[in-house]
Amino acid sequence: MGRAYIRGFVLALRRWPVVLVLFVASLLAGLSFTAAAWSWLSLALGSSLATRTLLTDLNVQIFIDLFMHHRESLGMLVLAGSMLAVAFVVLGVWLNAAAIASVGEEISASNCLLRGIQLYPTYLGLWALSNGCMLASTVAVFLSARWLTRWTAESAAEMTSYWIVAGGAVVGALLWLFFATVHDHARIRSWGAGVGAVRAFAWALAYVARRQRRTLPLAVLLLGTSGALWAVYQGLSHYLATNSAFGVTLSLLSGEALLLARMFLRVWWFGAETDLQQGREGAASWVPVAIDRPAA
Amino acid sequence: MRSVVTSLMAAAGVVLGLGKGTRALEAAAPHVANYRIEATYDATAHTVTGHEVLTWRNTTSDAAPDLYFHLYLNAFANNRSSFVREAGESWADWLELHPHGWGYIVVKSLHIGGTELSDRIRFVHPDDDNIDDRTVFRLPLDTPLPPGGVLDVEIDFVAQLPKLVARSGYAGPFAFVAQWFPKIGVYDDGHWNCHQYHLNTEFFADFGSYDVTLTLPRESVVGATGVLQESREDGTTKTLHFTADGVHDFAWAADPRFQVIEQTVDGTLFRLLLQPNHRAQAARFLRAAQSAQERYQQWIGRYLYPQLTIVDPGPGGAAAGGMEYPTLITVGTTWWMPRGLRLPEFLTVHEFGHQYWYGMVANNEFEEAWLDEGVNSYVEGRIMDSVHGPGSYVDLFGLRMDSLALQRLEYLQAPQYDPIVRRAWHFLDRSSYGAISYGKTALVFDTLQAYLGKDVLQRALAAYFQRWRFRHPRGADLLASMNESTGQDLSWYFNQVISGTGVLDYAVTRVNAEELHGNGGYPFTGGEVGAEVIPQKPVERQYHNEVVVERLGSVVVPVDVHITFDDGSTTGEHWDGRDRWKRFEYTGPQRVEWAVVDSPPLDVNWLNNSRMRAAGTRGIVRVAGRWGFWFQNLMYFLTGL
Repeated sequence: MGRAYIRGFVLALRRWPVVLVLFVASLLAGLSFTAAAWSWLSLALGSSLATRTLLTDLNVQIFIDLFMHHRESLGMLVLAGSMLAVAFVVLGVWLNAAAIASVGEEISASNCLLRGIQLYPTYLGLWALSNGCMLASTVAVFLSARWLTRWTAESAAEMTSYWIVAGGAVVGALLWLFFATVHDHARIRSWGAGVGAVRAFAWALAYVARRQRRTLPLAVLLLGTSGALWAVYQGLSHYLATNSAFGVTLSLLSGEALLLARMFLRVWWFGAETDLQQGREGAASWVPVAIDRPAA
Repeated sequence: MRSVVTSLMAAAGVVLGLGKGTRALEAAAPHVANYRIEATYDATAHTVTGHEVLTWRNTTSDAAPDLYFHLYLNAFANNRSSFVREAGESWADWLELHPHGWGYIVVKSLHIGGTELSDRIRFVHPDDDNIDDRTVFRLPLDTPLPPGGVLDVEIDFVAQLPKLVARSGYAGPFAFVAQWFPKIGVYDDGHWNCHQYHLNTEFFADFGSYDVTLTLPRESVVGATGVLQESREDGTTKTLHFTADGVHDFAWAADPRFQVIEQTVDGTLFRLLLQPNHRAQAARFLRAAQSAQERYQQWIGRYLYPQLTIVDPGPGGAAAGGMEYPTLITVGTTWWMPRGLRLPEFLTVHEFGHQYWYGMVANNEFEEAWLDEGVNSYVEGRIMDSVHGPGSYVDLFGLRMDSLALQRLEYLQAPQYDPIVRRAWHFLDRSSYGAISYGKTALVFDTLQAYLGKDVLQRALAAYFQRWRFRHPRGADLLASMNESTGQDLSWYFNQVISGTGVLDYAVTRVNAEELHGNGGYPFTGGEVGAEVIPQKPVERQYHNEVVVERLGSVVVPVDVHITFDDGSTTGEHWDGRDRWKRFEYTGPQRVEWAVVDSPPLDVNWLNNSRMRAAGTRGIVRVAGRWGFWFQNLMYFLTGL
């Protein structure tokens, strides 16, 4: 696991162009939503002094009035955001395919993107399978917690309901982590062995379930790394005074730096998991090929 | 036993040390309805079996031909009561969780002068046509009770507590027992004021003394209205004797899990009954009670009772939380409550305030809830803001909310469906009731504070309290008292905001600066037309500045307008606000940058209170940029699944 973790990091460093592509896509998503939000805020705030004072003072009264008097147009912003989200999730399936291709093959960034297109139908199927499982597990956990809450409604112990909610949250989070890890390994398997979505998913389910002492701890380690990144960002943000144009610019730039680091982490994650799977499968099917293979 | 002894010692100390307050209480409080009740609580069946002796005095100038009583608990007897019908779907949710949770109260016998009269009881429904509602009954008398006459009524009753809902009932070992005994209405002006129990209504009753003896399981820890006089244990039960003077209701709570924490501040014993998991928050409740008492005594008047019991409802008992009863309040919290989320403080300050507005100044909550809820919300906001500063209610993760933010958030939910003066059950719905009775009324007083000044309004409220404590004021009484105290006729304001549904909304709608040119065209000289003059730009640029302020709502108040120019200079204007609009014009070398109408807190839209000649962008960049960043993070999460 430790070796996979380190090799994933090295792989991500070597595939920096792909990291950059992922970051640009993320930036595009951010800019698109920023533009939509800008448009709505301009409309709702009009020529109010708030267009100026919000820089230095995020007065809650402004947001109360925005919410109360512009609720309908806010709904339109939410709708626009949802549509953008769907579009970027669809795009994300492709970009993830390209990222997985990049850590497994010695090919250029552009060829990674082409490989991503090749893999897209299978990866879309895997995305649907994985997210379907997550949704089902979430519903199951929610219904179980609801049933337990009602069953223990007469309990004299106040902590009972808290334990149920906390337990539900922990079980739900673990199930999400499990299926997300299965999804990753199914994608890597599908790419490496050229199998379809269902076979790859079934294989990954068994793989993660059987070898979870390596796959899940690695996922937890990478998740911890992500958390550490967030903590560092929050720590730095604490020292940024955001009540001036300079401060706001620095804050936005530091936010983008975090996003860049997260994109690096994504490639790192895929690299580490690929290495882990490679270790199990042996070298036969997994040695990164040093050929710039054109897309078929 | 230890807690009982401690209570007795503390109560004795308080009584001895509080001569001033107690004497004022005895002198000021009328004794119209005095109750002596002996009751036994069965904690397994959740029933209260009681014997009540009511001594009622007809203090009006009219003879009383009959008596009216409340049987509040019958609101929860079945799904045909007015309360449950008004609750609609929300009751269906409760019923799904507690299919056998109904509660009721029955009168087993009723004697006057030794004569059994229970067969004369007739259920009436003075507020609606619901013949199935059994929350009020009428008892005709053989001979009308003359003015000044006194009557003893003896009643045996059984109350089945509901699964905790709407203030009363049980939840596991916790029981909150309110509105639990047959309670006489208020006889006034030749009529009984005795309303049915509605979804939105609270209560109204006459002052008197209560002498209540409760027998409960031995392990029960009890908090009640008044002061504990005696406690004795007998096998598996214990009997507690409470007395309360100058009050108009009696409620009690029992739970073997209660942790008792007591503190005496300025002669008042605060008795906190806390759930074990909330022990760490004891100081928050006590500090809040102490600061509320301190400020009320400084601003409004003395807290005249020797004790205040603060009850923290048990698990599943949230419906009992956030309520007020004479000398007893209920609060609420959760196992973990961040310091920046000041729910314990807010609830304690609000319910403490009800000891003044409801407790001592006992308005009719059925008919004019704003007199207690609204006035109390205003003072509560002032206390919270003065104690905690900015972010007085919420100060969490950069989000700061003070009293004005909370009040506006509440008011703007439903600002224009109902007037403030409206019977509680006539409001459109609960949202409108809350928005108007709490939020709008508080903002009405915030606005008045901005108009009169904080000290003037404070003195006026103090004078109102002094005059109307231990009485039943109407809205008109408050307004008359305000006029008298301030020396101003404020009816122009109150008529608009109390009786009407109109909103207050002033807006700056135009901010323009137009560069002036020299004269041009054909000048007239006497009767002759001169030669055409080509306009020349003056050496120093001159601008014609225009600011237009509009009144968009129907409520009229005078407002100040502040105008800022591009050279940093400012000017102020005063407008009586009567017309639909007002234009302000200025000519000079400077251009107007922005204008702000200093509209009062009641204004429904603060965004349009200011206008810039050219909208800024930096504020929008900050917010939109931040939202874009959060969207990116959301996308990172979603695409990573």
